Amino acid sequence: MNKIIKFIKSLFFLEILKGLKITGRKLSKKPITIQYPEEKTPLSSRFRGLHALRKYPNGEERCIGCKLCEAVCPALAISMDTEVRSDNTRRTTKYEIDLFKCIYCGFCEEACPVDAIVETSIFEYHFERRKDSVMNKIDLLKIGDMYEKEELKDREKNKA
Amino acid sequence: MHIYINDKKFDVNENDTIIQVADRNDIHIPRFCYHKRLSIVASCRMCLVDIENMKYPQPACSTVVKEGMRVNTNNRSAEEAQKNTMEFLLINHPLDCPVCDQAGECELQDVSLEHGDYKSAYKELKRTVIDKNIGELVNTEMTRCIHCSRCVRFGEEVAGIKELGMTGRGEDTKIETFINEGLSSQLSGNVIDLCPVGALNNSLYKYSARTWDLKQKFSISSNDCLGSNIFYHTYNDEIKRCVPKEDDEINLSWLSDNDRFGYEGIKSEERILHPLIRHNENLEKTNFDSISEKFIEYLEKYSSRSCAIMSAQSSCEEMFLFQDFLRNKNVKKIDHRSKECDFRYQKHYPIIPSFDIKLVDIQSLDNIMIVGANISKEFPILSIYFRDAHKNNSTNIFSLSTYEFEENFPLEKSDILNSQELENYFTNTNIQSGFNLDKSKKNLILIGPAISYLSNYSNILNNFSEYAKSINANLALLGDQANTSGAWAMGILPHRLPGGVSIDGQENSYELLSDKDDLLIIYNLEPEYDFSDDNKIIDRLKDSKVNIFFSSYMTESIKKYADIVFPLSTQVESKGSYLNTNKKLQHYNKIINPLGESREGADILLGLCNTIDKDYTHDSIREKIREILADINVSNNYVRIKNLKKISTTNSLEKIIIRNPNSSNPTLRRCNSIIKTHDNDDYFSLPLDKSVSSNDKIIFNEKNNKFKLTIKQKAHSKPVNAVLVKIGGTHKQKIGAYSTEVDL
Repeated sequence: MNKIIKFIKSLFFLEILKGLKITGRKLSKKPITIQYPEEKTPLSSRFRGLHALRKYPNGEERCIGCKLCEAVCPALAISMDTEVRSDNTRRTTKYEIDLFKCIYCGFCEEACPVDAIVETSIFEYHFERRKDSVMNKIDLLKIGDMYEKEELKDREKNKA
Repeated sequence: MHIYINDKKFDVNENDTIIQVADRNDIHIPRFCYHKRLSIVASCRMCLVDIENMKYPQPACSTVVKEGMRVNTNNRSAEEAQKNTMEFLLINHPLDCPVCDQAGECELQDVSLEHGDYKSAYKELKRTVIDKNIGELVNTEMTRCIHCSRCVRFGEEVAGIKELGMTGRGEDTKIETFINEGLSSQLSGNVIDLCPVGALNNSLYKYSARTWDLKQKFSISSNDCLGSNIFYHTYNDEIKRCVPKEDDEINLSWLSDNDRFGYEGIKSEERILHPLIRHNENLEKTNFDSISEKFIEYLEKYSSRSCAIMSAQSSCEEMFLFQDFLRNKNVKKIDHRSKECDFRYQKHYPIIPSFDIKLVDIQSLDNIMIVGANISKEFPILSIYFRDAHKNNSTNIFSLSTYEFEENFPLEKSDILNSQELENYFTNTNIQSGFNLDKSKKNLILIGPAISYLSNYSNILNNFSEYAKSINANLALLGDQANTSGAWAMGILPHRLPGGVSIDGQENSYELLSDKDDLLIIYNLEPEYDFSDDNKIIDRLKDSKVNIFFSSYMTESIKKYADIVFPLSTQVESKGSYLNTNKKLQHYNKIINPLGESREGADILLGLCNTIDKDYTHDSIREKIREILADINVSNNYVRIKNLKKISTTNSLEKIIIRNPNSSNPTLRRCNSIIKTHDNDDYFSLPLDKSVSSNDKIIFNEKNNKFKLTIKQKAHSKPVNAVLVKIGGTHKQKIGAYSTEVDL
């Protein structure tokens, strides 16, 4: 019985008309497609993009080499070595993130007791050589310097 | 007798405390100040448990069980008490876990997570403590201290030197050294393990890794003949630290500083990383095949006139292969006793020299006579047993020695004698002054390794054996190196094959180094430090035609005289086994990979053995060693020698070099932190009635050689007619023979 009704309905192209109804409605509205890269979608202040290592306002690096980010990283993307620096503090000699391994979960950011490792809003980057995917400490600190202002703004927003 | 813990019934002994019963039955009770090998103070209050019919919770560590007692470790009352204690402990504890080395294995962290609260009512400032420098080995961060006083009690009760103490009261309480000095006990490193928080840390490990990254690997200590059981903790194929493995028969829960920090030297810049061969006056890099070929060529040429000396720190496997290969090549002179000069005893020596009784049985002895050993410095773990024996069984301990020192256990009597007086101790009543041990008691006479360096060792050994026999005492012969017992059993001797099978040799006129040797093979020994006479060995190296070295480290003399150098890996980089002084065979495995191209000694020797068609493998060697040891039966250690002549003496001065345990093997010599802490007291001591002109330089003559020493000068009243030299592993001065006559 159902099959017969379905067959009769199909003779009147009802589905097509239904679809055209939505098309007609959207025709009169402003399109939601954006012209990337000229145009960009708004990002959340909690967006998890490329990593950065932050510094204190006095220029001292924040990272104390506690290895909590390394321990929490589910993709084992972070590796670091530590030593005693001349001022008797624990510091990293090596801090590397393999961005091919990283799954951008943000656990490292959450684990960090001194807010040193953060995930910035940068999501547009590429690597031309394979080894470039491993970010070292110098790269990460550089990104930290560049994005410190945005980072502070995001943090202010996240507080609310 | 039985009690109930958490409504379960447990059998208990009288005088057990609740925490002991709980530990035996795997019931968790949090604690900080309680440690099973230390006295009970009940000061941290963390182990409070609820006991039925008691008004308040009681500390489990100090409450003795009573018949039918009902204990609750986790009901509301106990948990409340534990939570409150935890809050008080955390008031002054800093929140620096992210940088603290203890994090991850911290008892405070664990207990806080399990029994603490997430918030604290305390809002005031935290206390800070300024750190004192207490030495190169232990690093302090006293703000973290929770005053459990384990380290203080360890010093008082186990190490025997009260170096750390509690000063001040209330909030001002501090753990510190009384005077501004570092820790000097050879057991000082143990406070690192004892500290439940991160207040006392390992200096070498500081900030270099995190506890959860470390891999734990079992090994055996290579620094003394007790064979302490240890764990190495590694990260990225590097040794990060060393901790004791609990062993109720050897090292209990403790470790000597040499064992704990003795791995530092393996990364020394002096490590030999490539096979080397002499080429136009210089040692040049080459490959293993070419030096092996060359070595065999030399052996075939000079075999009957060659001399092979092996370190007694080598493993049993290396020893067996070494002697097997060389004896096949017709080398007869094989020895390990590089620091000795009197060999007349050798035929009568036990097949395995050992510590006659089990270490745990020391407690039951009545009298112990120590001959020529500073136990608390040379064998720190043994000194713990001696202290316990004195404490629990009031054992009388006597000491005879060639120099003055302090022990960490009380001595009934101590005599300082020169080698002649030592020899005649039981015949000359002037010295002995009516001293006699009771025959009906349990006695032990212990001969330290330093005695074997003396030129009348055989006479001393004979006389003390006679005496030991006459009073039915056990005779303990302590080895100089980690595997001295193994070296005797494995036939690293001119007159015995493995298993103690005698072969003919020139028994009486035996000389380790003679001018007839054309080929010298020196295995893991350093000519500058490891021979009884550093001039003689250098002369021999100069005279001989070819010198082959197996060594881990480069020294001046190797650079100068070696023709072929096989790069050896160190003990932690190889596998093998040691026979300890209780005749216990203990195997160890490779902890890290050998540095550079250096290879395990056993691998090099297996390769050499293959050239003579002996297809040994690691497993077959291990089996062979087990067979050899199973066949050996030593009833006692007495060394009684017939027709032993006395060594004629002139009236001139005798020089005695003090054995320095902190630089007794090549790796230890390169451990800078140990040397800075324990080995910085080099001196030359003269009898009071002798004097030398200059204050900063001492010049003395010895066998037509002149020596100039620029070390601290001291004076002593005893022993008479003897000068004493104590010199560390870092010395660059020639000091001549270990025991000989000198003029000033």
